[in-house]
Amino acid sequence: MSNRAHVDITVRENLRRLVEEITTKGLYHLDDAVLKDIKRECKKSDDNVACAYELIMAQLEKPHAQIRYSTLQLISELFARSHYFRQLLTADFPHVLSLVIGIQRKSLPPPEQAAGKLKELAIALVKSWYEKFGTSYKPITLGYDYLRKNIGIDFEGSVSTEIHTSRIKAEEAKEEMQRQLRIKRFERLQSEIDEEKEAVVENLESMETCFDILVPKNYSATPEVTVSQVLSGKSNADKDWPTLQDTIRDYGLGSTRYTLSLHVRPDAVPEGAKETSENTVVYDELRERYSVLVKKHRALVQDWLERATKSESDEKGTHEATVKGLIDLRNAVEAAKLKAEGLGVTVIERKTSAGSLDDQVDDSLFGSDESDEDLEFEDVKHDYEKCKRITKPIVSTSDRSLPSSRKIFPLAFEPHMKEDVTYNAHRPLHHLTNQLKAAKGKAPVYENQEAEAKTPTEASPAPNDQSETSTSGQVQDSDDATDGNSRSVTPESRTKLLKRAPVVEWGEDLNYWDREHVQFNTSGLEVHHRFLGSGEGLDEVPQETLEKMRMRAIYYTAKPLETLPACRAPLRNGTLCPRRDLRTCPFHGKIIPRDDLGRPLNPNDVDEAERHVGVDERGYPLRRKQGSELEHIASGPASKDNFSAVANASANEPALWEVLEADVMGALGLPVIDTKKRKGKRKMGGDNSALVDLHKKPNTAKARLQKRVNDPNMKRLVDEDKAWESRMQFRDRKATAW
Amino acid sequence: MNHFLAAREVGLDSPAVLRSAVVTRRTFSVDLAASKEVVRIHRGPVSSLAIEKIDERYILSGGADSSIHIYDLWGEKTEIKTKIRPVASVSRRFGHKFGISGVSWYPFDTGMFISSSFDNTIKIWDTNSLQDACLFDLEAKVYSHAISPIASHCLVACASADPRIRLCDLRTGAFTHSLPGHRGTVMAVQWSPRYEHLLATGGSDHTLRLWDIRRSASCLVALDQHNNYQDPTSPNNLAHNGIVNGLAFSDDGLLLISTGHDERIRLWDTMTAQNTLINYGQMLRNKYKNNLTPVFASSICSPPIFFHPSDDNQVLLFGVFDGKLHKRLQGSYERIACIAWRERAEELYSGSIDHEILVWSPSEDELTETKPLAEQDTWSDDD
Repeated sequence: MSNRAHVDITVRENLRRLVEEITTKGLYHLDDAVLKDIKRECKKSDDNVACAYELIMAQLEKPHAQIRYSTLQLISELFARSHYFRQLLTADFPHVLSLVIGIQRKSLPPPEQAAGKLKELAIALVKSWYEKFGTSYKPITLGYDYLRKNIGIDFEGSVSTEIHTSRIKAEEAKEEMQRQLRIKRFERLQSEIDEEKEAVVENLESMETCFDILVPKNYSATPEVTVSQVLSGKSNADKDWPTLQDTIRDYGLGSTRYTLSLHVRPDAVPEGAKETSENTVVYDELRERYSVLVKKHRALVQDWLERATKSESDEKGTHEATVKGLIDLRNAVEAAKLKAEGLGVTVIERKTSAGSLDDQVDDSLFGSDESDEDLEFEDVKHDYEKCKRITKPIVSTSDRSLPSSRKIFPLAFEPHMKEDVTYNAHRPLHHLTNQLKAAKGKAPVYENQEAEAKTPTEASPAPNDQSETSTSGQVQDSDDATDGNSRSVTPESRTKLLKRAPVVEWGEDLNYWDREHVQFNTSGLEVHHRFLGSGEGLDEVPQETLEKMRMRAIYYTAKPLETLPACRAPLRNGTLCPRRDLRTCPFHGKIIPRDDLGRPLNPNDVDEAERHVGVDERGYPLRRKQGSELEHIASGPASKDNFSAVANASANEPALWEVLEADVMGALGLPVIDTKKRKGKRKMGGDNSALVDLHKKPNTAKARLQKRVNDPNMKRLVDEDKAWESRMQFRDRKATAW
Repeated sequence: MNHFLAAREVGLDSPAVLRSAVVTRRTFSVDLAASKEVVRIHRGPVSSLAIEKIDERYILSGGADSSIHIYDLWGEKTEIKTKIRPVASVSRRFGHKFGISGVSWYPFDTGMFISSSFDNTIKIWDTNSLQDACLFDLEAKVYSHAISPIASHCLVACASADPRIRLCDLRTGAFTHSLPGHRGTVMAVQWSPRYEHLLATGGSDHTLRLWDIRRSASCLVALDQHNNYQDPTSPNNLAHNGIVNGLAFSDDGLLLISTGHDERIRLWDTMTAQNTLINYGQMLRNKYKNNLTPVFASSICSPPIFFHPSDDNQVLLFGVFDGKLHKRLQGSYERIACIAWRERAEELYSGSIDHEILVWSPSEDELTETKPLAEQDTWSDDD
């Protein structure tokens, strides 16, 4: 369009900013707010539309597929709304198509992925425009025909524009996908429920039968009150109120106004339901069922319920019914559990003696193969007793459930380690330190760094003998405990001892600290060596090895470097020397304490400092008295060195004028001019843009190699090598040419 | 417009003035026709178009797919649009072997038409039977041909890869004579509509020659762009600094337009053989070695204008005497190879490389009172 739109400059500027902002974001969806602003502007007048069109075309010409993509989205928005915009665009339709589809020997700009999307969207748009506006705007028809017949673009197979233009549609598609997932999940759940529900129900039914046998149901003689009666507030007795006689007969009381409170002992088991030799079979059965219920079915039903609520079904009825059924089932399970608990039934623990009961539990828990396997394997003595002695499960179950190889420290959760006072992994550290603070002075504390230089044996001199003995005694105790003997230390003395106990970091040595006989092979399997034959049962770790094992391994950690003091000798530019050396600054001599102006604090140091400056003629700025300084600069060629020194210094330090400039700019409220800032190319679309940088070279193998090859250092080395080689060749040639 | 109508009503203006005003306005408002379309039938670039001058009803189109189609421009009208369908076709099997380079009607009757082709032949066709009545084998690629619109001699002049211009006599079915003078391929040939023996040709030797076919030394003059006529027929008289591939006489035959690969248009006075030195600017793109003929709009149009297809997919509308580019007709997707002007309806037909024949007609804004829904603004309220 040759006639430029006559738009107010501010409006134009505003539109330009908006259009640039929306198109250089690099996102696949337009910014709704900005889009709305643009639409609002364009709605005002056709001149604004023309202006927007010009700006949009300028953006569309940019050789960046992401910009073009966003611009095309913007075009589609305006195209759908403004007739004038349609006129403008269709007047230049071939050109637009060549920019967004790549016809007429023009290809789309990089990045490739965005270009693909751009083309896809353009094709979809042309199709939709053709269907909607084809009859009114001839160029659209022409373009459509051209693309279809000459370029061979398949419009039937093109995706709908909505995928690109409408975010809602994209979200809907996602939603639909998730719905399908939920449906699938539900189907899986359904099949699972179908498989296993029967077992649960059967278990519940048999429990119910047991309850029926144990506790006879209370069939009341009084007529039952139906729900409808309750709702309507009527009862059978409405017709004739009970007479006093009746009341007395029924309740043994003359009035209904008494308040009676009945206390039922919750742990009380009904009289007839106590476990006796007669009903022990029933109880056994009940116990077994109860174990299965608590251990397996309860969690299972809960899991089903959770999954059911998260899933979905095509037929709403089935889903609801399933959930309802599951809730009922859960309630039934809970009720059965309560009832069983009311009868004092507990979970059967697995006993070492594989009784019939235990076997059954095993079967139900771990599948029926277990019993077969039991036949094949020798029974290993289970130290159940030991486990039992741990009164309080301190360690979280999640840790416990980890296989031993996965634990941070494999022995951490072994039962006998619980008794080891030196191992405090389960306690929070601050708790420990608090405890330690309380016990300060009583027992030595071995924290990380203090203990690292010494082994606990060598360098933990106990403050008194008692603590030492008590510690060892305690360790002895724990050893005893592992052996299954009775413990000699009472809980009170234990806590007392604990207060005094030394705390050292856990190490493998502590495991063997008090062990005299350590067996190699604790698996119980006989080890047979090819040449040495089978062991004689004396597979113990020898004494010397054991001693080595008791040694503590200590890793040296270097001390962190302390910050060295700065030289702080005054420099000519008014600052202090920032060098940090161990003893001597190469420019200002020995490092001495100085005040804020750089003057030595200790008057004895002054002479030495003066002397040093006198010696040092060149180098970094020298320290001199003010008067002689000027003299020196003025005097002869020697001062040149000083100038260069100043120049050197000012290369790093900001020059005075720079400092002044910064101050002045700050005073004027202007941004400080950063001279060091590289004047790079302005990045398209600002910092928060998702545009792909086209100027950045891809980090290909070739580029990396090229970088290496073109490395000047490398080149120099190669050149030197070559020169040396040729020199050697020359020398050899000389040597043989006689 | 109303001014002209009022002036005509009270008798201030002659009818010609009103007619000229209407025609001019219509001609200048030519753009892609929304309500007319030519059914796409060519399977290759459309290389040549010709509208018969008798009642301007039929248009011939020759394509690079060597087929020739005749369309009825009256078409079949529906409510929305007119579809122009081919009424007769010569397919490749029965026609030329290679692509068609030019088609033209016999000027006095629609019963016959002529086609030239890159298969070295010119064929004369009987329109009714669609059989070739006569064949001229030129033994060289034929780039263009022309038959005089006024002459009684019925000679077809051929521009071919042969430097001589051959004249084919339709009456005898034989070549009458040849006009030697060019030094290379002849790209364009046109008969003067004023003098029946005057012929203009342009060739790849950058010359533009006027011939009187009656003379033995037939070349009258080789037009020189600098108007330097020391030797009028000298091969050094260059009309363009490139191949001359397009020629067009004005209706009165007094003006000749030539176009060449130097991407310039020159207007010549045929009476004095002078270059009028009108500058048409540098908007034209013309690089293909094909005949590319400009077309004069109606002569009553004032100012007089002509259309010129350009290689950048558009048709340019120039003022003849001021050289001003009045309009660009954009909308084609490929290079426009040929155009034809339908004078009485002020319609332009263009054939392009993308197999399409486009109709450009005066806009009919005033005729439609209500805008269709698709042409209305649909801003939503919350914008």
